[in-house]
Amino acid sequence: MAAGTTVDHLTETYRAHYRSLLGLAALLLDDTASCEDVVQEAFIRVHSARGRVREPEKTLAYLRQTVVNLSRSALRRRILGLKLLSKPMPDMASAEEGAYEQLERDQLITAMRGLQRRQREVLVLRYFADMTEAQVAETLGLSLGSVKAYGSRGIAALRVAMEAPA
Amino acid sequence: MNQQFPGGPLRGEGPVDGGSGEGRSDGTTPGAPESGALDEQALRRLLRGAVDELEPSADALEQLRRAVPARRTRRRQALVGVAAAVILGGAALPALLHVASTGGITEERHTNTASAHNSQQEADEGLGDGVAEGGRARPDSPPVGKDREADEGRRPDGNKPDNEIKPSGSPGGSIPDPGNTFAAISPTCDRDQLGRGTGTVGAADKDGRVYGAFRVVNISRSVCTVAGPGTVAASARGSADSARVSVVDHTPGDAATGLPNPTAEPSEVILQPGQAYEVKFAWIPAPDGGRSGCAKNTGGATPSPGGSAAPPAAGASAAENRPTAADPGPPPPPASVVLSHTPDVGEPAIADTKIGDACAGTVYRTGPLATAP
Repeated sequence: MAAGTTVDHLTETYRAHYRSLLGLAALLLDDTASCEDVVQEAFIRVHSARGRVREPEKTLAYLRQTVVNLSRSALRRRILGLKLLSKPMPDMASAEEGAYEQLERDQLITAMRGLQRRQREVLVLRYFADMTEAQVAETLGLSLGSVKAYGSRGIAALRVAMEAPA
Repeated sequence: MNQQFPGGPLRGEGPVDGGSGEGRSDGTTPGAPESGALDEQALRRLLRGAVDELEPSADALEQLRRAVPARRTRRRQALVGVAAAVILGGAALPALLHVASTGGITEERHTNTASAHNSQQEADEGLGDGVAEGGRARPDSPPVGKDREADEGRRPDGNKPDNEIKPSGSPGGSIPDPGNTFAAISPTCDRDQLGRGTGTVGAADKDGRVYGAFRVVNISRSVCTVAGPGTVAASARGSADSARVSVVDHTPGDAATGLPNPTAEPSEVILQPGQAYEVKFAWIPAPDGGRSGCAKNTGGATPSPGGSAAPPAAGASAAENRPTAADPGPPPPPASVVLSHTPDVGEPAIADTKIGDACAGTVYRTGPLATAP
């Protein structure tokens, strides 16, 4: 259909970014079961729309933005008590399951989940995705000042949470 | 993962990538929560370490290779579907109206209701004695009845212009090009992003037709996409006939000739901060019912404002509309229809407005239309 959107491009971005996006989703979401769903959906959305976009170098930015948005939707729905992306991961092999289980026990993850959503998002984008504060502000639709504030408060809260006896 | 560090846990490096060259800090003084304890570098390592073992499922790439072309196909089909729905709607409406005018309003209502749960909620809230709900079926979404929330993340049309990433890309008020597919990334407007809802109605023309609009502003600081048409609910008040008030989507060739051509409606409306969308509507009184729609059916239903105090010079002005002289009993309460708009993202209703002197008829509504900021 679209010229710029070849399977090669898909494969290429998959190899380059899929795993880090999985991490991004895992850090943003409060349940790991949805991580891969979210990343898959992000890939599908961005790539099925890719045809009309001439800026492949922005793919990662689009993917990240979509993961952030989908993760928020996930959280929102969970708050509403609705079941999101409810289909179980059908293909999750036991090896990955192990990794997900470990993740559930990770102290940092636990502490991150205790943060306010905005704080968590800022920290993850800033320090996991290595975005600049300006990029984070743009991605989250916040002012630069808010990003700084959420970031410093987030780190402080994280520090407290992780120093508490486990 | 091993996070049992005898010292302050924050001093621990990323658990799994110990080989990254960073020195382990196992030996540091326990609990040194100095501000540097969880510094930015440490947080980077911790975050990476925490998810380092996550691996894509074995066939993740395969799934994508199948899913991406499938999604493209669905998006194409969705577009075709929209066109078909518009054409069908145009053809079917006269039939629906016929049914309606013979008393089957409730049925008609359901044919136009995509979000029955909203209807239920409003009914539960006792919004009015007769609530007709015009949820718009979305031609681009999977079959009615599928949970909207669950579906939100997976709509095939979820790709729209992304103004958030490229703020310079589209000047504020422009109607986004539905063909621009980057909005995958522009999040749908949360309910709390929408505010300053207003409803306005114009003056009735000689036949009692009233045009108006709801206006809803993106009060947040982010760009967002209007999730869908939302609902327009009509509630009969006073002596208005709730069984004969209905809400339908505006279609080409219907009686609401003053509304914009629905085929020109944008498939997505993206709101810059401060920008508003409008849902326009028209109140068309039931035929043969005079200006209010049911002048003949219920004596005296044509309301006088308040119905109570005879206006000064009553004999001169409103004789045609006000057969009060013939009323034996107390005057009936004035008939009016209250319209309310609820955004697609859900309750509560964001705006309402009242159409006075309305008793029976049909509300035609548009989808969300972008306005200049």
